[in-house]
Amino acid sequence: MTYASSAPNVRRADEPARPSTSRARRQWTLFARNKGAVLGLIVLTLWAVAAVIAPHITPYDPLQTVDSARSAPSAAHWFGTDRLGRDVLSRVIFGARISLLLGIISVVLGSIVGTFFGLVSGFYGGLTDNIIMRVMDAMLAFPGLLLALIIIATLGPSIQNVMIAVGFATIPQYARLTRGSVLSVRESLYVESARVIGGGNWRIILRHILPNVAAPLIVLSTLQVGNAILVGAGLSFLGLGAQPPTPEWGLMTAEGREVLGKAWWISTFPGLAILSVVMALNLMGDGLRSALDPRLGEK
Amino acid sequence: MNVRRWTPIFLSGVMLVLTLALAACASTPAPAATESGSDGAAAGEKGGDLVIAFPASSEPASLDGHIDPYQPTWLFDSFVADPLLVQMPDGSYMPALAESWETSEDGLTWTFHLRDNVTFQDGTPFNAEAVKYNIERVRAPETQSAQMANDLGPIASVEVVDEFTVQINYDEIWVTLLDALRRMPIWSPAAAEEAGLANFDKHLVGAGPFLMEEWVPNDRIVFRKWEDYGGWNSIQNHEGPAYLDSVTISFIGEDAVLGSVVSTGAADIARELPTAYIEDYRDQDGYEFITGYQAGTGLQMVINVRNAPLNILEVRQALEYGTDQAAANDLLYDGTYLVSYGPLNVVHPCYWDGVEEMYPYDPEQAKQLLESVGYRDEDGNGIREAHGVPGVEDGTPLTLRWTVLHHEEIGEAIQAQWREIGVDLALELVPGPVQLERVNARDFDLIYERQRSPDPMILDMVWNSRWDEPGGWAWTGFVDATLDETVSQLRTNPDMAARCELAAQAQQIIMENAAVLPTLSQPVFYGLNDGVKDFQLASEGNYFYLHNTYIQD
Repeated sequence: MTYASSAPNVRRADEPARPSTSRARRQWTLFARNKGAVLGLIVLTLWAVAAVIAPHITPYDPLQTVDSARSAPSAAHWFGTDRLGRDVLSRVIFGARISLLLGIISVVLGSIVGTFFGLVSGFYGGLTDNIIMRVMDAMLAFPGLLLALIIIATLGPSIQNVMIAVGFATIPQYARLTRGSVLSVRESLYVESARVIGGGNWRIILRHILPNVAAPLIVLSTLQVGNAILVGAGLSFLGLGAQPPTPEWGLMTAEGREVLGKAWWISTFPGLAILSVVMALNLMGDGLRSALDPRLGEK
Repeated sequence: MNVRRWTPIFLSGVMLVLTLALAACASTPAPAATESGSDGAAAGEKGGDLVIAFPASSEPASLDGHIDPYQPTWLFDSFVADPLLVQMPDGSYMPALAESWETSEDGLTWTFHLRDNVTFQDGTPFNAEAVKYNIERVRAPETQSAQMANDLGPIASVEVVDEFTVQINYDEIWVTLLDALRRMPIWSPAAAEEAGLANFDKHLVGAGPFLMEEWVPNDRIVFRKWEDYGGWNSIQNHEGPAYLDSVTISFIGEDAVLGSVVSTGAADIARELPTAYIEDYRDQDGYEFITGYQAGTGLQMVINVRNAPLNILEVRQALEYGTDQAAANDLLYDGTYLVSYGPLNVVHPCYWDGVEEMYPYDPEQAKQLLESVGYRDEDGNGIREAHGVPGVEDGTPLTLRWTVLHHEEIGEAIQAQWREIGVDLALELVPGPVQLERVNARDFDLIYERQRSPDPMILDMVWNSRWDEPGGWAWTGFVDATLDETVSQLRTNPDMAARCELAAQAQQIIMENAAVLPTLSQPVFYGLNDGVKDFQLASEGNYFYLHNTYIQD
């Protein structure tokens, strides 16, 4: 008898498999059928492209006073100017860089740490599981925004610290989700097979378990990016995130708050930018969930 | 599509649109009030319930002016407790609870002759013992007076000469006693003792026109007319009690709301009206708009000269040349603020206009000065780095911190100006306690420090290196023997002309050494419903009197 080097090669037909090309194609088809998800993907792509080529498409320097303060939207300034006479459109476009980066980095931070703890907790079980999960429960007892506020109060207000704070606040969600998924697959035959052929714990975790629990994590990450952008903007709105003159959407919304009745455009356009990105991410998350979850996808 | 996930997002969008619509509606001026009646209505018909909106940041931590160091506290105290004397709108001192006063020839003793017909709101008598009690209460260590004790100065003793005569003795001349006494509330000793230091600010009892009814923190303070008030304050133009039936101070947290609160009818007066809302009241039917100016330092940024690179004169001078205060004023406030050029603002009686010529906006001169000390931009990122600057490691970018409690937008405007000369400015908006932490640790580059008084003695407070001590107001670390000697004389020289001459010398020395970055002076804007009559602004723009005020229907 010849033993295969990787567990999926010895799986039976009724066992879960790592995504194959045909399955990926089917998932993409499912995703593409979801109009909301496609719209979200388009909106997000537009924002991402705008963020990357911002210096080439913005009409003005986002940090420079280019006209009188609080000028209403016009041909020269489509989104008007802010309280310092800076072009709001240019600042909104540059703001996409910060907001998208904030969302992605904080989710990457939170997902790496949270997934690690979830994998360890679910795979080893017992006391390790208990300790990790009780710590996660304690973290979950604090609302995400409050947890982020506590961290910012400790580290000081800055956009980098917002990324750390928001990432930290998402750790328990990843840990719990990963743990639950690991529990459902760790007794699977392909895991048993991998163990039988002498695979080490970490090899089994990384090569056989992680790929099979990745789908819900991808969905969660998509949704969490939107959440992170929203929390980051909220912290900047409170003066705890990005500092002037950074063109960050939350900060821009706060700066226009005092003259909302007089110069609505200062807050409104960055607010709409937040709304569009968060909506796009949520639509995409919904589409991904439908596509990656076979039970939903078959409906 | 997941409807449950969609719903809150959709609702958020709808809420946003509704909020904007409401805000836009709120700013629409209300219909003009009907002009009716005359200002000369009979005294018996005058009255009304006055609501004054203040920014929430004006709410004091304590309402006891013996303890709290902020002007709103003294203002609210003045509703409940008349002081010994009052400063009239023209700046002169006139009798209130004291009928007259005089100083000895050597200037060391002040004698006050008190009214003999005054009782406090709790029915206890006002007399020399009460005055002595109040002064000693301010000076008692357990009171922890943050300002008033300093303002009263180094009193040697307080003597009760007879029931209605009191003497205040000094070992050195203290010329600003009257300025302190016009702000110091005279409390009922019996009430103060009964409530104790910690609780008295919720049960203020004095001999002023209004009784304190309630203080709801973060919301309002309510005062009610004291029917037995004798009108013993010179500011009052009639006998008996004040006209208003009640006065409510309403604290408003949002500028957008404060700007609209009178036009929506929620208040009769808005104090510190945001500049964006001025046009809703100025020259509008149904409203009155008043601008009050206040002598003082303006919104100055004092410079910590202890550390490199701000210990280098050329660097500080470069910052002065690189700052265009007038442009910031036009951009941010439509030119409604006052431009400051030196350590006293332009409405101060002792303002020296020589400062206006010292640092005209000249970015090229600023760049040359920075380059002369070794600040060049060799990496091409727009911010200069040190190259042989004394006390600064080579390659260190020229980044400075700007620490403020409010008006951070001025910092933003100057941040953009300084970027042009290669200076990076990091803004730091902090609450009061954090500002004091920074000051105590001497951990700042440029920090906001505003003093408000028409007396030039504020120059001694801020610039005499003798007060570079814990709790003192000399924060910059700047030491100059001539300046110290000059400003010290402001405490002892009673002649106003001579004091202004001393103040002019001080202003020149301070600006020659570029130890402060003057920015702007904030006027106090009031938007009033024009039914409010005889609202009297004091000589200082943020102070006012309600003794004669009433509301005309």
